[in-house]
Parts: sequence; C-alpha cells; structure tokens
Amino acid sequence: MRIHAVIRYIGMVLQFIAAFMLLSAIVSMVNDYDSAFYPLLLSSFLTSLLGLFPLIFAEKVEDIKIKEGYAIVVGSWFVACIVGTFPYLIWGGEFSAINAWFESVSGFTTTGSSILNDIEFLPRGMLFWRAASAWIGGVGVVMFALVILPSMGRSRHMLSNVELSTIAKDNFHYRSRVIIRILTMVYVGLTACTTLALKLAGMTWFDATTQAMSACATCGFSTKNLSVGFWDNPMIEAILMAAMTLSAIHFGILYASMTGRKNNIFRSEVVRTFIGMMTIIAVAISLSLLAEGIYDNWGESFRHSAFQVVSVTTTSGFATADTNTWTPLAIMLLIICSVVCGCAGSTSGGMKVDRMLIASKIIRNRMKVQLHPNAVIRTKVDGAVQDEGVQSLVMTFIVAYIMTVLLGTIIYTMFGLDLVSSLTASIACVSNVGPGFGEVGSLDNFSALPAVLKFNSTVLMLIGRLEIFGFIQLLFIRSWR
Amino acid sequence: MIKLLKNIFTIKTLNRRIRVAFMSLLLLLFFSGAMSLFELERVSKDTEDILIASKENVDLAGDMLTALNEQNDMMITLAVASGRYDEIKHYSDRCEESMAQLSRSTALAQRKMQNTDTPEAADSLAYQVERVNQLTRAYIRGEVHLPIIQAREQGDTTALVVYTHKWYIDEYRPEYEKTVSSITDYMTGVHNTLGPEVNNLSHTARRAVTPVFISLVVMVVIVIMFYFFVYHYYVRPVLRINRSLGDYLTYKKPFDGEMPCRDELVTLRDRIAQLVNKQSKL
Repeated sequence: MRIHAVIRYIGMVLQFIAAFMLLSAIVSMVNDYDSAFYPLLLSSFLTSLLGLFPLIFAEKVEDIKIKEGYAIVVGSWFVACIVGTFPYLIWGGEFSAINAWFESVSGFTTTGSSILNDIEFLPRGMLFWRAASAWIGGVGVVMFALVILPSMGRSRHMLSNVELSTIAKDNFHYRSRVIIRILTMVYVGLTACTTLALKLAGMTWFDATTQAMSACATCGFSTKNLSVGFWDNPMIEAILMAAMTLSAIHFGILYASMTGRKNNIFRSEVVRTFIGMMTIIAVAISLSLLAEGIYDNWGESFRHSAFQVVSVTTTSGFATADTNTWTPLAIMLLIICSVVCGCAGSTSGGMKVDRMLIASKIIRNRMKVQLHPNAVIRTKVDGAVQDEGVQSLVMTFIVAYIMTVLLGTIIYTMFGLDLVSSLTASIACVSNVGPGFGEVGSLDNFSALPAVLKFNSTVLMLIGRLEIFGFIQLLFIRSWR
Repeated sequence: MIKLLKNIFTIKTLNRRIRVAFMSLLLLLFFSGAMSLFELERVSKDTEDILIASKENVDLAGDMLTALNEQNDMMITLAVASGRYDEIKHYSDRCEESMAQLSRSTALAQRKMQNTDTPEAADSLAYQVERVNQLTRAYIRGEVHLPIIQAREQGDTTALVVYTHKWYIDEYRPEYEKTVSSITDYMTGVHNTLGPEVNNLSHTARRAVTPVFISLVVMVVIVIMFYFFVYHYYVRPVLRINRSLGDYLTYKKPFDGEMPCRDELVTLRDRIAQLVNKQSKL
C-alpha cells in the first residue's frame, strides 16, 4: 500500500474541513466576534497546515488500489473526527477531551448524540461548526475528496467501495464520476430547499440553515436545548420530516425521480416499504398514545408520533416530545425503527430497509422451499434478482449488527447503566440514530455517562458509520501488505 | 487566492518544498506562541483585576468595621463620661467623624455593587448603617429614651448609667451587631461576585494552554510526516541512485534509478544516466 498516496488524499479532506472551520469562524465574526471566533480560526489554520503538508510533498497518484481506497475512507473518518475536536477543545466550556471527541465523532458520523447540557450557551460560530461537521459527515468526508480530485476514473470507484453499501452500489447504475455529481446536487439542493422552507416557516436564517444542514445529514444536532420542540410549530416539523425522509432515501433514486427516470421513488419497492413502515408505525404509536391519554386528541398524538418515528427511522434524532414518557408499545416500535432505519445510498445509518426487505424475502422463500422442496425461487428486489452472494452478505451483516449491538449493551451494563438505557444507547450509536431511551432519552444526553462509556459510544458510532465490516477490516491492517 | 493555493499544491521543486515545509513549521510555532502569549496576557490581566478587586473589597470592609467599632467605643465612653461639657463634646465629635466615615465607605460599597448580580447586599448594608447612625445621632442629641432624658435633667448619674446601660444592651448593641453582620454579608457577597471571574480565569488559562498543546501535537505529526516524505522522496531515491551507480561501476549493470517524484532528483538521475551512456559509448 502506498501510504504517501493515502496521506495525500486525507490531506485534501483536511483542506475541506479547514474551509468549513473558516466558514464557521466567519459566522462567528458576523455575530460580533463571539467567543468561538478565535478557536475556530486557530483550528482552521492548524487543520489546513496539517493537510497542506502531504499536498506539497506527496506526488499525485492516478490509480488508487482497493486497499488504498479503503485506507483513505477510514483514515479520513478518523482524522476528521480528531481535527473536529480542535474547536471544541480550544473553546473549552463543557468540552473536556472525551466530551470534545464524543461531540466530534457524533457529528462526523451523523449520530447526533450530545454531551452538552446547555446547547444554547454555545456561541453561534460553534453551533454552526457542530452543524457543519454533521453536514460534512452526512455524505461522507471522502465525498469531498472525490469532488475535488483532479484525476478522474478508477480512483473514485475504489473510494466509494467502503462509503456506499453493496446494495446501494448494485442499485446504482451510473458511473462513479456521475455518482459524485448526483450526490452533490441532491445533497446541496436538498439542504438549500430545506433552509428556505424553514425560513419561510418562521425560523431565523441561522436556525434554518443549521437545522437544514443537520436534517439533510440525518444527524439531529439542534441549536436549542428542546430540539425542534422549541419552536412548537407544525409547519416546521412537517418541513423537517420531509427533509429527513428524503435524506434517508437513496440519492440516486431521488435524482432519478427529479429527472423523470424510470427507477423513481414511486416505483422503488424499497422506498415504498420504507414509507409504508413509517406510516404504519406512526399510526400505531399515535393510537397507543391516545388510548393511554398521553395526548388529548388524535391530531396532536399523530403529530408527535409521526415526527418521532420519522426522526428515529431516518436516524436523525430530532425531538418534539419526551419519548421516555410514552407507552411501552410506542417505545418498542421506536426501537424497531432505530434498528431498521433508512435506505441504502442515503445519509442514514442502521441496518437499512433494503437489507430488511431482502432478509424478509429470504425467510419467505425459505418457507416456500420447505413446502415445495423442488421449487426454484429467486429473491428479487425492484425486479432485480439478488444473487446468493448478496443474500449471504445481507444475512451476515444482520448477524454482525445484532452481535455488535449486544456487545455494546454488555459494555454499557458493565459500568452500571440500566438495561433499557444500555440496549437503546447501543442501538442508537451503532445505527447512528442519536437518542435512545432511559438515561439517554430524546430530551436527555450522554453527559452523565462515565468517560469510558462515552468512548465506547464513539467506537460504536464509528463501527456503525463504517458499516461494521469496514471497521472490522481495520483490525486486520497488518495482513494488508 | 486560488492561483496562490494552486501554486502551493503543485510545487515541484525540491528547494521550494523544503522551504515551504520549514516556513509552515515556523508559522505554526509563531502562531501558537503568539496566541498563547495573548491568552497568558489576558490571564495575567484578569488575575490582577481580581486581586485588586479583592484587596479593595477587604480594605473597604476593614474601613467600615473600624469606623463602626470607633463609633461603638465612643458610645460606650459617652455613657460613662464624667458629664463635663468639653469631654462630652470631644467624644461626640469623634463619634460624628466615625459615623461620617462609615457612611462614606457604605456609599462607596453601594456604588461598587451597583453593577453586580447582588446589589441588594450593599443596599441592606446601607439601610443598616443608616439605622445605627440614626440611633447614635439620637443618643448624642439626647433624644433616645425618656428615663435617660429625665435622669440627665435631674442630674442623677447613677440612674443615668443604669438606664444608658439598659438602652445600650437592648437597643444599640443589637443594631451594632446587625451592622457588623451586614458588613460580613457584603464581604461574602463581593467574594461571590468574584467567583464567576475566577472560573472565567481558569477557563482563560485553559484556553492559553490548549492551543499550545494542540499545536505541539500537530507539530509532532507534521515532523513525522516530514521525515516520512523526506525519506520517501529524497533519501531513498538518492540511496537508489547511489546503489545503481555503484552497481554500474562495479558490475557494469545498467544504470537504473526509478523515481517516486518529479523534481530535481529526476533531473539528477537523467543527467547521471546521460553520463553513464556517454561513458559506455567511449
């Protein structure tokens, strides 16, 4: 593996991060040079310098090999998370070393969990940086390196191997160069439209921009302690729900829908399953809440349940209500939502609807084979036959996901966290959802956890963001040579 | 700006690369040092401000207590004074001076506490001082207590001492103690207002140290990268050229020096290759 080539690409990613830090410093400057200005400016300078070195020294490499592509992706995530702590550490406040690391990883992995007890105390520049880190992480740090890469062709495809899941790539019938353009157009376009809509719905430009960045990254970082519940505005909630739902759909399918192509959101079986699942669960939860008398009328009950379901399923984690006070049925259904999550090829994390759809079809076919032993039954998604390799990969991923969640739960319980909080914190981190239940509920945060559990959470977030196997591969780095 | 960035990213000469690398390190050192100095200067100024504020507060409280005690002493002395006019006049004047001093110090304390979160501590102190002063003034004017006035008019010194003692214990002493307690409350209040500033001081101190620490970490990473790149792009190629040239001279093996870069070392390799070719043709 050519380490110099890997470092050069990571250097490019660092330049992008430095540019966003500078942008946050400008936001700080516009807000009367708030206390975040100097930490952001210094962080931008340090990050830029760190990234400049490999760009000056390392020669440009055209043909990126698959292992190098993997190293660039994983390396970029880690380095981004490390440099992302600089503004927090220099600013101080609630940010100790572990807290800064937690907030940075939570942002770049688009998890949206926080250790901050008083978010509104942060200066605007820092709030913007939080949202920016989530936005960068939303489509993947590597995506930026891909956009600015002067070389075209093979290298990009290699880099996207880790970033996009196998299913997403199989669904993607475009060339890698086109993928980058599509992702950028959809992502930036969606963020811009959401910002405008939120502004029209009554938010300030600053709040609209940061909430839109966070929603499109399916992160859930808010600028308010009460999250979206602060505005208590059905229109704002509806706009954010639409933005979160669209961000959790395969970006290629979104592009196809906008350009009038055949494989659009209305025809996609995965999208139908995704939206159908959210609708059914939202109705079931609203009825459950109404029956228990938590809300006075069905409209209010459906409003809150729909928002929470969309927020959790898309792995955003925004909140308008304290779900800890909801019924056990509602909690259970929300846990299922945070396991299944959005579609492959989107900014959401988790197991993904695509895999659940294939898994359910495999189970159904298995039952059919038991009834008709000689029957040849193929598993199809959107009319495309899923070969044995894909099926095996799907099942393996589901098993690995469950094992990771259980392992995470064991670690949480080892340090004295109760079972519900442990299990849901583990799911929330591996699926990059953000909030869980119990001590880590929708209106609570991870600040009360001991440092070791905060670190454990960040490891789980990274495992989830790198689709489990991407992370596991890192452990066998010695056998790469 | 874009052109400048492009020029930096596409540097191809060895000399410029090394120069830019060292300039970057120098810039990093300077920047982190300057920032730390700036923050340390702020820490130093904040510390000085806190110490001055603390000293002023202690001095003020000391003045108030001294004045109050002086006033109290004069009151006791007046109570047991012989009754001579000049003696009473002397103690009364000293008592008035103490009262004026106490009032001045209280007014100053009130002004100081005006812009803090707890101005009520100074207000309650001012109220208490006014009460004790009124009581003192009334005693000096002989308008305090009917039995005392009667004893004074009748010239009954024994009764005067007894009644004055009773008045002092029942009325004056509690007010005096309340005033002492108000001064203590004021002192505590001022110290509490300094609390956030002390917290802010530790925050600023941390901000002075963190950039240096982060800069050091970045510098260590850059130095490691520098070593790696210098070794990969300059040391190894030179060693390779040297070995290849040695192989040519010793075993007449063809000169070969594959280069990972496109700078002066490639030119050097090409020129050596030309020389080797000319040598072979001779």
